[in-house]
Amino acid sequence: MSNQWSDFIERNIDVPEVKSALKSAKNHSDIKQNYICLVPFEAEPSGFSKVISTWKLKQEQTEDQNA
Amino acid sequence: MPDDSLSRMSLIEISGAIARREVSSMEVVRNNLEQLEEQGESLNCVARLFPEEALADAELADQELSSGNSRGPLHGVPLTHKDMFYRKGKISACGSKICEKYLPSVTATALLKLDQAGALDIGRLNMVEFAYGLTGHNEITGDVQNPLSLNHIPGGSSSGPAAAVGAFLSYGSLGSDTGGSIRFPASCCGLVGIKPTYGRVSRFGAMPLSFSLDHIGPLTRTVTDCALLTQIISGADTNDPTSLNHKKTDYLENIDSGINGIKIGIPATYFDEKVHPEVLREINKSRDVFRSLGANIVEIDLPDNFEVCNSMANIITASEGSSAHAKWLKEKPEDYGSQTRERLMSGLFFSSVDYLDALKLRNVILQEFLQDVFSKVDILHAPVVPIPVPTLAESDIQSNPGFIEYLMLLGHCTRPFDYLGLPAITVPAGQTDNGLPTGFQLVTPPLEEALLFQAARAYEKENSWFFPVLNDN
Repeated sequence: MSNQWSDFIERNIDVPEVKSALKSAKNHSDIKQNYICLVPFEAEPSGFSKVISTWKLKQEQTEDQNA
Repeated sequence: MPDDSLSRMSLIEISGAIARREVSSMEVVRNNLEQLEEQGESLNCVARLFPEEALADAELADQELSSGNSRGPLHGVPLTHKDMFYRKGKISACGSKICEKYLPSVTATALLKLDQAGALDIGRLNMVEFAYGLTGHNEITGDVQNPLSLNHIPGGSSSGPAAAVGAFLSYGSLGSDTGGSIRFPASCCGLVGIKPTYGRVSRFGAMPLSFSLDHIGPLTRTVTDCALLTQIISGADTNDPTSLNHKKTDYLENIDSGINGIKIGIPATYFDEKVHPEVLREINKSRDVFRSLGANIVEIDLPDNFEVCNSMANIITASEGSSAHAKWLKEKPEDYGSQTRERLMSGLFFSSVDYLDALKLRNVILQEFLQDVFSKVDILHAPVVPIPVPTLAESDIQSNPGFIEYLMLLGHCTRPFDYLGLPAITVPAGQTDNGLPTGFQLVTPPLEEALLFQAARAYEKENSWFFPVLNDN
């Protein structure tokens, strides 16, 4: 399987910048593999804004109840 | 001859002086322009100024005041901003060769809000190329200098704003923070800088680096100035679908309430282990100050998965950044600086699965962080810059082997809070042995900026070693 960058990588694999960029990308991808089991099957990126908004709403509801 | 007494006022002081007509907007703007022209060059912090429009706007501002009209709390006050905030018809070069003649067709929402508050937009300040760097180096426009020591880094990527505000050449400046680019230079130059909650300030009209991690916020010399600017620029925006629709708090209302009884958490892991002893010394002193102010200081464990935030933020930034730059990377790679090009290139090598996984992990880590940390404390206290401010020479590693690891270290303390979208403010703490400043950051749950300002202000009143606490009344 190839993508539009496969040819580019093949042609430039010995260029230090490309080597370094590839190494960096692999390093971060490998780190991610250690944690990806935490993500549930149904997770979506848009869930992030829900987490951000929900915390504040929950705090406000708690404060209203205590008041 | 520039008048230092004018330029050394805080933003709130100068706006008050103009409002009471003790000084005219024309006088302030003329003085500011003169200083930027004379002193901006030695710092290499000025990208371009708009002197004719600035003076015309100042004249109008004075006429309005003499008729009893004021547009808002910043009426007639000149401001300069990072060269990535679009003003329709004005060049926004973004620290690059590729955009050196770029004329945006829109104006940034944050700038429009400042306009509505009466501020005058008088110029743009240099930055790291496309906002992608923490040191302040720029192979294209030249390096900005630290105003406290001309051979040290000012930090980046909001390098020009940090240098200008630190040198009293700007009363306050908008910057952006994707991996630390407001907080890091604020710490390097002894300033206050805030990265608000993700979505609190509209990103519309600000050059994008990574739309999932970009935050807009101000750099200032005082906490109250920072609170005022954040108050003005924050709010929902239909032009930015990621902006939050929560009710705006008045950040100034309780800013002097103190922090007696507030619980401040000191992270037991992750941060201090990577921080230089001189920096840690000042960080610990600042924690003692909070203790003396009545805060309840407790050690707090962070979730184990917090350590992956730095890497995941890198995946997202590189992926989204390289997507934005893909066309230019193919057509004119030679027009980029070498470091920017390599960092953007690494984004091309992540798979879509890597990118989406990094986004989805964010939800899990944030939820756990809020549960584990902010159910127990109100504020987290952490370092910002893990090492003493380095010289331009020793940190000029360009794209040499190991530079990405070096940048990972520099962003170790700041990047996780971009990834989690949590609000974080940097406040000057003290000096390391090389005489340069170092700061700490306070972090709260989402949308608790008011508490950040309250705590920062309490600290500033007790420990304003760097800039004297100015009379903001």
